[in-house]
Amino acid sequence: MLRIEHLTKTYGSKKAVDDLTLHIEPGQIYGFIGHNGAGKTTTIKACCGIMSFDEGEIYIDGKSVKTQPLECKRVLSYIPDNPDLYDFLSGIKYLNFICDIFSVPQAERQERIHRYADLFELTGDLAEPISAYSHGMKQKLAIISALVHSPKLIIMDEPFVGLDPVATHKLKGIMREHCDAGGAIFFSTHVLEVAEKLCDMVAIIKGGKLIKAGTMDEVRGDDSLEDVFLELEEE
Amino acid sequence: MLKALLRTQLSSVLASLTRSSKGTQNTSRVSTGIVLVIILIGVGLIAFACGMMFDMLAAPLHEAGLDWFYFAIGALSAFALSFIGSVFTAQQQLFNARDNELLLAMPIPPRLILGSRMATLLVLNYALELVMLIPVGIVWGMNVGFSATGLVGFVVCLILLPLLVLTFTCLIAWILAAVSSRMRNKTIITMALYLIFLAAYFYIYMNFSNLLNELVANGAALAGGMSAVYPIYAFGQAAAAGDLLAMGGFALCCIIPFAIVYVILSAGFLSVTTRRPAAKKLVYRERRLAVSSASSALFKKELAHFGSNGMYILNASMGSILTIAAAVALIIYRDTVSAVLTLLPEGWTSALMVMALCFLCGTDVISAPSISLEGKTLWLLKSLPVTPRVILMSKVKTHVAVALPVTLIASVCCILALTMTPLECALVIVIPALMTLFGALLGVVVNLRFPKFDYINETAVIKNSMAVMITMFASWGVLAALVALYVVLLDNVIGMVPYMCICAVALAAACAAMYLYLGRGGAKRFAQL
Repeated sequence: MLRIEHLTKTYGSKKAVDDLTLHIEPGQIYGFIGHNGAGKTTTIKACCGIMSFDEGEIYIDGKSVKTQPLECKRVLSYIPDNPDLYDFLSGIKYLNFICDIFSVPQAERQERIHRYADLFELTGDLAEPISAYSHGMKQKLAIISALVHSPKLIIMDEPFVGLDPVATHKLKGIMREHCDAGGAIFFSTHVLEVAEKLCDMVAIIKGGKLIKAGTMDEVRGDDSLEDVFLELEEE
Repeated sequence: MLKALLRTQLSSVLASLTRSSKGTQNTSRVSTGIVLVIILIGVGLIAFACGMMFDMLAAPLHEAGLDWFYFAIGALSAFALSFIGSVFTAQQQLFNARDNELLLAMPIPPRLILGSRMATLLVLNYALELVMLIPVGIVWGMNVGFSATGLVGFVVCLILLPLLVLTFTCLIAWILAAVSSRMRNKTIITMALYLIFLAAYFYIYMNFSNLLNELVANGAALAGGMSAVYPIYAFGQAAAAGDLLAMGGFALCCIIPFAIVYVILSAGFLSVTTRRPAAKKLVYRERRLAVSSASSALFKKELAHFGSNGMYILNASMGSILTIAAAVALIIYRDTVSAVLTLLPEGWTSALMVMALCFLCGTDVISAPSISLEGKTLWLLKSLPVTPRVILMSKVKTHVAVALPVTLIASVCCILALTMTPLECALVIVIPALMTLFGALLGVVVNLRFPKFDYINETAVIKNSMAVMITMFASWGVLAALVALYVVLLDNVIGMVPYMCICAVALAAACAAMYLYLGRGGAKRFAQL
């Protein structure tokens, strides 16, 4: 579903991502962990086609992000670490805008917006302007907008930040359902306990380089993910 | 503490004028150079025009013994320019900045935060005032000459006058912020209040001028009418005669109201900036959602953004607002205007109408800040499965959708009010329409080159950003170049009407070139933002 091949991105003379290779298959929840500034967000933005990169290739559903960006964007959803949305639109207008962009048929958009807004308890606030939303409500709206067009791949940067425990629990359930239905999820997080319980695969990045990747069991062995992460960070 | 706040505020203003958010240090230097040249040309032209105007007044007023009146007119004009130039920025600058919560959370007294923001407005007022009053002083010096005390008086009053402007703009900003902070629909309230204040301001300004004229005509009535115009009279007396009493009086008129307003605003700053409207929550009722194409959805989103910000509407579509006023005035005074225009050579009536409409079209800068205004939501547009060309054209369409209907109505008013041939009528419609499209495309092209995403409030981008200034001056520059080309080189070679036909073709070609650029180079540039 997502193939990152020898990705390299430099800012001036600094290599933010250095020869990174990762493969995410359909059905997998893939966790991406690393300290601040390790290159997670850069990698994620490159995968979503919102940041160019210097070397390597990224394929989404077999299509190149470089040469077929629109085809790639049609099958993926991106949720950034900070849900900056259009404050001047109401929640419902924003969701309808996203549905228009992704050409979601009328009946489907109606049903999906209803379902996900109810799930995240946001239905009552959909008429309000986004400027009146709290951080958590914006995050929920960003998640709903990422789901309404039924993407094959969901890429998320710190998706649990700002969510209340109930919404966090529901999001984890949706992630699992999405992958069980053949989709894939690639997300970054600092919450190692969540990653440990939720992810099928995990990759650890440090200084732009991939230092460990594999199934959760392969990466952590007999230790906790936190222990492995801290150990690798100290090396 | 105040020094640090001032430094931050002023560097933010300077950055909005001279620095693009993207690009290397070298391109930044080039950009700064370009914008400085543009600003200098613009300021130079305005100052030159002021100088010419006051050059006609200096000697006659001196001979009539009305030296004070010369400086009074100068003060009144400087007040008007500074007021108009800063009143639209004041509310956002003082009360609606993005860093409000950040600063209020720090151990900084609110009065210092307010003070630093007022100081930024004061700097803007000084800049605008000096553009008017330096030529006033130079012209007086060249034609009449200052006495030593007069020069001191002029300089002192020149330093004090912006305080008076600041007092009024801050008071209006405070009233607007206090009222709109209680309302849900801030855009309409803000726009309505601003338009009421502007109308009131122009009414007072006109009456002020009339009162001054009456005072000049009837010196005996001077004492009776003095209270209403005392500050301006005192300015005139201080500058013309070095009258110390008048200087002191003017100083008191500037400092005391300013101090009172500062104290009042400081006391209410926290409550105004942190108040949230206690309006009833909007209830969502599920209904059938309208389905649109991607380009239509983007266009609607752009329109919603434009309509959501009163400052955006008032500042970026000022040309359209003035066009409506001009069209109404033309219909009302059409006999007078027709009588004057019959004195012009053949073809010049339509040419003048075209020039006026094109000038006003050039004042509309709706598309010029539109990319910058994406700000922190730029990721959204870039992550959507839509080509950059469609995104950029939605911004062009928004500008055209707002400005073109007004331009067309004004063109029709010209045709109805004045006598023109069918070809001239067609040109009065086509050329301003093309100029509107030209301005819309140019705005996006320039904003792609000079984006600004790290702003503290949207007004900074809408009003003062490099993209807006370059677009406005470039539009006027193109118009000026076309007029100059005819007047200087082609007057005896080609008639005005055929020349306007050529101009129409040239404008259409420029629009086509920019349209093609947005689909290719512009799209690449957008991807790099």
